[in-house]
Amino acid sequence: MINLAKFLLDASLVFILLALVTNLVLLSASRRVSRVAAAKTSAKVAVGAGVGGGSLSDTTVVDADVTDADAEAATPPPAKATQKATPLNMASFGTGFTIVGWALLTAYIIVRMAITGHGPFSNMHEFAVAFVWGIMAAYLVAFWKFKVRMLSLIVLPVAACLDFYAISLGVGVETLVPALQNNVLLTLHVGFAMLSYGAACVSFAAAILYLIYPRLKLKMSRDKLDEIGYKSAVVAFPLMTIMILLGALWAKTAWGSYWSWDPKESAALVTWILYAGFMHARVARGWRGTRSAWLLIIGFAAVMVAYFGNYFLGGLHSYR
Amino acid sequence: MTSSDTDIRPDQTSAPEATPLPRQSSSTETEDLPVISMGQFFQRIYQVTYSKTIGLIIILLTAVFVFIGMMLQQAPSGTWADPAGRDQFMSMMHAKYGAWATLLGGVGFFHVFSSIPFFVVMAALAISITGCTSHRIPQLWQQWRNPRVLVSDRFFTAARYQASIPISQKDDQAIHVVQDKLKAAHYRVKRGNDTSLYADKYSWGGFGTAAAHLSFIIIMVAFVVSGLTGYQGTVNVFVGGDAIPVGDKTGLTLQATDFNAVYDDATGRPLDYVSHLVLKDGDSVVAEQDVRVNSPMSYQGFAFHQNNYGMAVDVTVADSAGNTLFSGAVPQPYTSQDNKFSIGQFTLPDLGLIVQVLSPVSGTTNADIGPGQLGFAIYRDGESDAMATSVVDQGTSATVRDLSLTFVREGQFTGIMVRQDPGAAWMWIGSILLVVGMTVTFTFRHRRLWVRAQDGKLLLASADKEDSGFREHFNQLVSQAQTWFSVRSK
Ligand code: HEM
Repeated sequence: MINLAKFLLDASLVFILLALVTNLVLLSASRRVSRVAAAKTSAKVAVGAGVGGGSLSDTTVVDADVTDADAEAATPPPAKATQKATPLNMASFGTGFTIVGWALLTAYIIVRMAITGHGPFSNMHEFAVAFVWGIMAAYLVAFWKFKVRMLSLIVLPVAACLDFYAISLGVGVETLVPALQNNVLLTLHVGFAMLSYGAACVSFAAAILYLIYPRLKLKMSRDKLDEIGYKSAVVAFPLMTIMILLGALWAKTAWGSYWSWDPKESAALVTWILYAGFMHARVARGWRGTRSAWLLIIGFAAVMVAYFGNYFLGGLHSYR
Repeated sequence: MTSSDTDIRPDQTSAPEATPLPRQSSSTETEDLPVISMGQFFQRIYQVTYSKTIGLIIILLTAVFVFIGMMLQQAPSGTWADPAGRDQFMSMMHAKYGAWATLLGGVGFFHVFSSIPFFVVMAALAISITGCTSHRIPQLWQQWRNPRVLVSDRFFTAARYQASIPISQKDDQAIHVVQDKLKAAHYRVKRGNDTSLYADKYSWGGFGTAAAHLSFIIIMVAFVVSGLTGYQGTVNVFVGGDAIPVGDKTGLTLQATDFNAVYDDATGRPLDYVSHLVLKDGDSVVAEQDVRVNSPMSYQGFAFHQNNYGMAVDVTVADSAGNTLFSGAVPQPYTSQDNKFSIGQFTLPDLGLIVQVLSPVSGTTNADIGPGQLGFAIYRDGESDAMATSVVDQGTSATVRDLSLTFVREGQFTGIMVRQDPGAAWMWIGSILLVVGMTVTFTFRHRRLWVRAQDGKLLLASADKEDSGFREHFNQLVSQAQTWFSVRSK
């Protein structure tokens, strides 16, 4: 049975890679297309912005950032027409592969839960699978909301590496030590961790894209990446808060004290404080853009440390 | 909410600017120092507490401390306070970090979470959060109850979001239409004058942030309360033995009538272990139940958790007057250097003594302690040579230096962690408030809109932070407004 399930997991990796390749081809193609269209487009924008006073139409909506022509949604007609020929069909493949990859992971997790009788929290294999699931889920939500396919070029490689790592650990099922047997709390704890870490991965992707933006020659505005980074962090932060609190609640029932400064607990707390720092740098110092992006990258690095922490930090969470 | 009032500064007239503090002449002073009154002095201090930059620095400093505590091995709780334990721990750290250990230990990095610098940072964090929140609440109140309704002309051309729509109606009629439409769209509308209005949504959203900050203070207080007033200890209860006291002054006694452990056949790992515990307060039984890892027993704020189990010897110690000084199971987790004895120990704190109990390791024979016998070795606290020793058969006693030592039996013990945690309730209240507050903050952002009808045009503007969601909403609103006034292109 578990071997059958393993097939689902292997297939998920294949689909994640397929989605990645498709999106790569698609994005490099559309870059070429947009470069051709660029001349026409920029001429048009210049006209629109220059008039301003309202002779084109009686109503003028002046965007503070005129350049913020919404990336893919507001692509001007000429470019769209050219795109139709190839990349647009591929777009649905790129998205489709991603969804299938995620659905396969979902199926694997469900089958595995049915076999083991508990949520994906007993070893690193299960964590890794859940992490990939969270990353994919967060990416799909972000894609649905912001339509920025470019994010996948960072998100999907991270997901693929973790998926590969999960597969390399083997799918064996182990018995649970008593401390891990409180199913509901632990399942929720891990569930929130994965959603939160997934959102953190999306904000990381947005931050990377923000930093390398000058080299990308994207149609979308750079500010949009900043916004995606912030909004994903704003989703990740409360989820992370709930995750930590559920962990504390579980520690309270299992060990009698809700906080024991175990290294893995500390790692999660550092991550949490870094995201709090990110948000306060934004409201307090008006940090946006580059510095803000670096904070998000450090934040996700902390997520990875918290995640792999049990390999080198020791402590109560030191199961493998 | 994240919007700050600085964005709508253009309207200087109606802005209740902070009046600059009166400057006092310093001519009468011999020293050329600016004179500040007591009030100003405290004002300055208050300003420091709500400084967002300082707040940010403190937040990042907290992260640094927790990071250190995560990276460096920390002394187990209590070890650092005990000089012998500290020395032992430090020698381990010297082996690990070499000469650096002295430095790291000196600055408190091996017990970060009970070190003074950490407490100072946490106190600073608490003060900063309190300052920020108390500074923010009046502003939030103002924005909720008494928002600025009128803005300057320039605002409509300088704001981040702005639009202008030609209208055919009279100015006041147009504003009336807008008012009705916005109300229908669940905006709160306040009229500035006949031709202008202010509208907003979720004006209370900012209180979520205040709640989140307040909740963090509650959590910190709960931590302190738990640390200072709680009780935590482990009692090793002999399975099938007598009831033993819980702590010194609780008046509670605990008895384990049964114990069971279930193992996984394949791996030998424990799957479940359960103690049947009976708790007495004085003479009456107040609680009795099976206690396993994730289902503790509670009574009056005390929680009894299954912690560990194993083999132990049951011993009692009494003084010459017959008062019991110690009674309970003593596990023997250590092995002597020659691998001949299993060793356990307990303390008699009132006498300043440490008692070691030694059993022969099964399968070995030796002349000192035979099978079924127990060796007692009594040490003065801090000394390494035993002041007295004695070997006792099971079920018998020996008298050593006025102490009567009894080896009751050998068998299984169950280790029960006892916690009394008066902070826990506050901890959970704070946690819920934290999550709710944050969710409110992020879900219900304060959205503001100023509208004015002027010279045949309807002007709309908002100074809220750049946000694609709000921009879309704003643009939608503008195109809707066009239909209200049905200005198709002339
Ligand atoms: C670790 C403890 C803290 C937590 C969990 C926390 C939480 C939050 C959250 C969730 C927000 C909303 C952020 C956003 O809207 O993007 C926020 C905003 C804010 N925080 Fe904190 N905070 C903490 C410490 C502090 C400290 C020490 C200060 C004092 C400088 C502070 C001052 C502020 C201010 C001024 C805002 C903006 C409020 C507004 O615009 O209404 N916070 N905080």
